[in-house]
Amino acid sequence: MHMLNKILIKMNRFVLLLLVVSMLFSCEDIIHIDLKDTEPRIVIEGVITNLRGPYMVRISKSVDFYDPGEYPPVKGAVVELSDDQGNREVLAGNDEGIYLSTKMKGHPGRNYKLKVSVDDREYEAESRMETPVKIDSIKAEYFPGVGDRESGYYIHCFFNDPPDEENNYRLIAWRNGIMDQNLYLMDDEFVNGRPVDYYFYLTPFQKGDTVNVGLATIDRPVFEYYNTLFNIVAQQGGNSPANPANPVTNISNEALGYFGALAMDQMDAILEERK
Amino acid sequence: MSITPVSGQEVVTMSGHLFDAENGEVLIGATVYVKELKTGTATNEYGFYSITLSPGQYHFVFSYLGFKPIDIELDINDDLQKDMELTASSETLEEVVVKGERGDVNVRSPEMSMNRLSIKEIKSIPVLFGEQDVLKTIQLLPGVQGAGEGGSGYYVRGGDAGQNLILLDEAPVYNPSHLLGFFSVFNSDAISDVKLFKGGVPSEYGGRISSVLDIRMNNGNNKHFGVSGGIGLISSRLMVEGPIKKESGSFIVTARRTYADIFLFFARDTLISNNSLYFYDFNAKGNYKIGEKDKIFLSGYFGRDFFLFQKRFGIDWGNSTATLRWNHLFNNRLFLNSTFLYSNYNYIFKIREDEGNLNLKSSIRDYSLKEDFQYFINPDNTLKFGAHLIYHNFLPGEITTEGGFPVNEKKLETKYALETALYLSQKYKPFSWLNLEYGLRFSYYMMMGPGEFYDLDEEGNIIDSTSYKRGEAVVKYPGLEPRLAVNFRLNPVHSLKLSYNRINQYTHLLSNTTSGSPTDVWIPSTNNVKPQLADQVALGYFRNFRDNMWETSVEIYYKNMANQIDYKNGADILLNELVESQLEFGKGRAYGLELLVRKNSGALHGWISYTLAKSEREFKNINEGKVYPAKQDRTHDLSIVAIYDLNKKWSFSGSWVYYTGNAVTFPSGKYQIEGKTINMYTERNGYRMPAYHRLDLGATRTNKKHKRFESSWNFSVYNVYGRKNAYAINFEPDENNPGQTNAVRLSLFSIIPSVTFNFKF
Repeated sequence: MHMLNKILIKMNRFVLLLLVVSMLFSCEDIIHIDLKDTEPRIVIEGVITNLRGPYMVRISKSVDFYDPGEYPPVKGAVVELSDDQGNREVLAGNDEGIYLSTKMKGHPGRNYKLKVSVDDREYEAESRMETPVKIDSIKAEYFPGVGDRESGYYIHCFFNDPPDEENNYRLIAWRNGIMDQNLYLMDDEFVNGRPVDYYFYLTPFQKGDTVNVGLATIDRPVFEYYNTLFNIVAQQGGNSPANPANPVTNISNEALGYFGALAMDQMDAILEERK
Repeated sequence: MSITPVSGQEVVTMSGHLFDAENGEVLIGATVYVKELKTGTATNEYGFYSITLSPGQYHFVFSYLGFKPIDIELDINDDLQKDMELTASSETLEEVVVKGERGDVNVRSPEMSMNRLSIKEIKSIPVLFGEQDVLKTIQLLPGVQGAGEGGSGYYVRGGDAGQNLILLDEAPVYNPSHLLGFFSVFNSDAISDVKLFKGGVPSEYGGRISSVLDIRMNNGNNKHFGVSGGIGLISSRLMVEGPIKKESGSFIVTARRTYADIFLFFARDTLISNNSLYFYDFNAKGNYKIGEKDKIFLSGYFGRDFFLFQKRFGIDWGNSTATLRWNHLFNNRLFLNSTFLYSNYNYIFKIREDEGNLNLKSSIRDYSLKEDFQYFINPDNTLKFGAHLIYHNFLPGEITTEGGFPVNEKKLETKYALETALYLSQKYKPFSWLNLEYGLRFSYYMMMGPGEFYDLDEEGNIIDSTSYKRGEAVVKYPGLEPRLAVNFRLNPVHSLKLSYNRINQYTHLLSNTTSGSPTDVWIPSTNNVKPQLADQVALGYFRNFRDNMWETSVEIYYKNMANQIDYKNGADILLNELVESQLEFGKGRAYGLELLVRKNSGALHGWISYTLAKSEREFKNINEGKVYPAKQDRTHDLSIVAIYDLNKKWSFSGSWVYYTGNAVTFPSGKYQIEGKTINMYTERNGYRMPAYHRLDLGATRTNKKHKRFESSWNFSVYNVYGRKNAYAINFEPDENNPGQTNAVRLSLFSIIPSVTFNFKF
C-alpha cells in the first residue's frame, strides 16, 4: 500500500517527531520580536498548462511581517506570454492584479517565456513544458485519524514513471473544486522507471466529496522553486532549518514567485461507499 | 636506540608513575616539584614522569589537585625508579593546603586557552535530568557555548561543531550526541581526565581547526573488585572494575541505558505513545603490565540510539571506537606510546512496511596508527615527536530494499582518504622567567581512488570528470602547521602568555539544522573541497591570589578561518553524488575576550567565566558577499558555578548562565503564493535570539557508609525559576485569523526536577 514519497515524508517526520518528543517538555507562546521594515517587492505567480486556458499571471507586492494580511495588487503591468514557436500574447489585467490569457495555448515540448514590465523594471522567466505523464488510477483509503492527522479518506494516485528521462512532479488535489493548499512534490531519483503509488498524506476527503487529482510534470527549475518554497512552509510549521532563505526562483531581477509550465494529467471521482 | 646525556656533566634520572592510592588509577598531569631547583615536571597521559638532575639530595613534592601532597627528601646518586601513591583528600571541609609549588600550574606552564576539568567537578554540577555530562560542563567555560538548549553540541571560539576534535582514549568520536543531543556519549563513570584546548593547540594534535577535547578513560581499580552505579529517573548506569592481576593489571566495564521512552507511554495520544526512543552504551578498558618497561591498554566504546515510530519506521545510530595501546620505556627518559585505533559512526534509516523493507545507510570509518615519543632531557627540556596515520572510509549513502519495496536501490561510491602527520615539539625553559613550547606539525592528506571524480565550476556545474584506479591519488594537500606557546613569568604569581597555532582540517561536517542531527554528513576534502585552515593568536594574563586558592586569567584571541563551507539555498543532499555542487565556500574570522575567576579550594568553590566575542563569515553568494555574523556569534556569555560543601553529609551546587542570543535569520516581510502566506527573508543572520538565562540547583546527600557499601542521593532542578528561553522562534499565520502573522516562541524544559541514587561497594 505504500510508496516512495514516504521516505522523504518520514525523514521529515523524524525531525518533527524529535520535536514532538521534546514537546512533552515544551510550550509555545506568542511573543513580539522587533522586525525591520522592508521595501515592498514584486511577487509574480505565472502558470501555463497544457489544459485549456485562460492562463493566469498574478502580480502583487510583499508587505512587512506585522502588517495585516492584505497584499497590494499590481495594476497596469505589461505582461507578455510567448513560446518558442513565435506565438505571443499580451495579457489583459484587472484591478486585482490578475492578468488572463485569451488565445495562448500550452503545448508539451515547447519553451514558454513570461515578460513583465512594471514601474520601469523588467522581469523575465522561462519554463519548459515537459511531456505529461498519465495517471493510471486513483484510490481512496480510510484512515482513522491519529494526533493532528484527521480521520477520513486519503487518496493514492498511481502512475508509471517513464524510464528514459529525469522527471519532476507536482501533485495537486482538489476537494469539491477547491484546490488543496498542501504542496506535494516528488522526483524520480529513487523510482526511475517504476510504477508509483503516491499518497496525499495530509489531505482527507469525506464521503460524497468530489475528488480531483492532477499530476503535473515540471522542469527542474520549477521543481526547485516549489521545493525551496516547501522548506519555508515547513519551517513556518515549526521545523526549522538552520538558514531559511527565499525560494530559488526562475524569475530575473529579484522578483519573488515563479513562472511554471505545467504538463498536467487529471482524474476525477466521487467518493462513495463501495457496494 | 641509545641515549647519552646532553652534556658532559654527570646526571641521574628519577622516573616512575603516580597513582591514586585508593584504586591504583594513574594520575594524569600530577606534578613532581623539586624544591631546591624551583622546577619540576608533570606526569603524562599514562601517569608517567621522568626528571633528570645532578646527583644530590633534594626535597620532592608530589601533588595532584584534590589529593594530599607528599613531601619527601631523597638522596639521589643513581638512576631511580620511584612510583608514588597519593591519597585523595576526602575531608573536603578541612581545607586542603595549597602550597605554592602545586597550585600554580596555570601561571607556570606555557599552555594557555586550555581548561582541565576534574570528574569530581563534573559530577557535582547540576544538569538536565540529573545526568552528569562532560560536554555540558565544558559549556560553562569561557569561549565555549552550547549549540542548543540542554544539548551536548558545542561551539568553541566562534567555530562550528564540526571543527571540534573529540577524542576518547585517542579515538575520534564523530557524533558525540545521544538522544537528540540531550545526552553526550561520554559516561562520566568511565572518564578519568578531560582536557580542552581552545587555542595554542600542541603539535601532537591536528585535524580540526577550532578545538581539541581529549578525554581519557579510567583504567579500573587494580587493588580490589568494586561495583558502583546509579539509578535515575530516565537512565541508569553500572560499573564493574577490578584487578586482572593485583597491582599489574586491571579492567573496568561501564554500561548505561535510558528509559526516557517510558514517559511516552503515559501520553494518551497513540501518535506519541506508540514509539520508542532510547540509547545504551558501554565502555570497557583493560590494562596489563608486562615487566617494568611495557604496559598494554585495550579500550573500547560502543553506543547506539534507537528511535522507532509507530513500529513502521525508525532510525538507529551510534559510534564505536577501539584503542589498543602499548607503552614502552626504552630507558627511564625515553617513553614511547604506540596506538592502533578504530572509529566508526553510522546511521541506518529503516522503513518496515507490508510491501517490504527499506534501509538507508551512511557511515564513516577510520583506522589509525600512531607513534608518539616523549624524551625527558631534563626538568626544563622535554621533546615530543611522532607520526600519525589515519585511513578514512566514507560511505555517503546507500539504499537497499527487501521484499520488493518499490524503490530503486542506490549506492554512492565509498570514498577513501589518507591523513598523515609528522610532528616535533620541544618544551623548553631557558630561564626561570621564560617557558616555551614550540613545535611543527607537517600534515599530508591524500584523497584516493577508486572512483569517478568531477571538476566543478564555481556554480557547481560539472566541467570535467576523471576516473581513478584503486589507491591512485586524486588530490594531495600538504600542510605545514607551526605551533607556539610562550610564558613570560613576571613573578611567582603572575605571568603573561602568548600562543599561535595553524591547523588544517581535512574532513568536514555538513549540517542543515541548528542543533545537529544524527543524519549530518561528514565529507572528505577533494579536488572541489579544499581543507579548512585556521590561524589563531592568543594573548593571556594569568594571576593567582591567596596561595593559589584563587586563579584568574584574561585571554584575548583572534582566529582567521579559510575555506569555510556552507550549504547552498535549497541544497539537495540526500544520496546526491554531487553533494559538492550543493556547497558554498567562504571565509570567517572570530575574536574575543575571555575572563575566568576560579576558586579551587575551601568549602565554597567554583568559577565565574565571561566571554565577549564576535564571529563573522564572508561568502560570495550570501548577503551579497558582505561580512555577516555567524550563527555562533554571541556577544556576552556569563557562567557562574558554585559548589558548597556544608558537611560530610550535604553538598550543594548551583550554576547560572546568561548570554546574548545567537545571530539568527528571521523574516522581515511576507507575501502570498497560491493564497498562502509566505515569509520573506532579506538577509542571513540579521537578527538575534532573545537573551538566555537559567539557574540550576543541585544537592547531594552522602549516606552513612555500611561496611563497604557507600551511597548517595543526588537531587537537581533544571531551570529553577522556569524561564521561558526560546529554543526556536517560528513565524506563522495566526490559527484563528490567517491574515495576521505571529512570532511564536517554542521553549523547552521549564523547571525539571530529577533525582538519582548512586551506590558503590
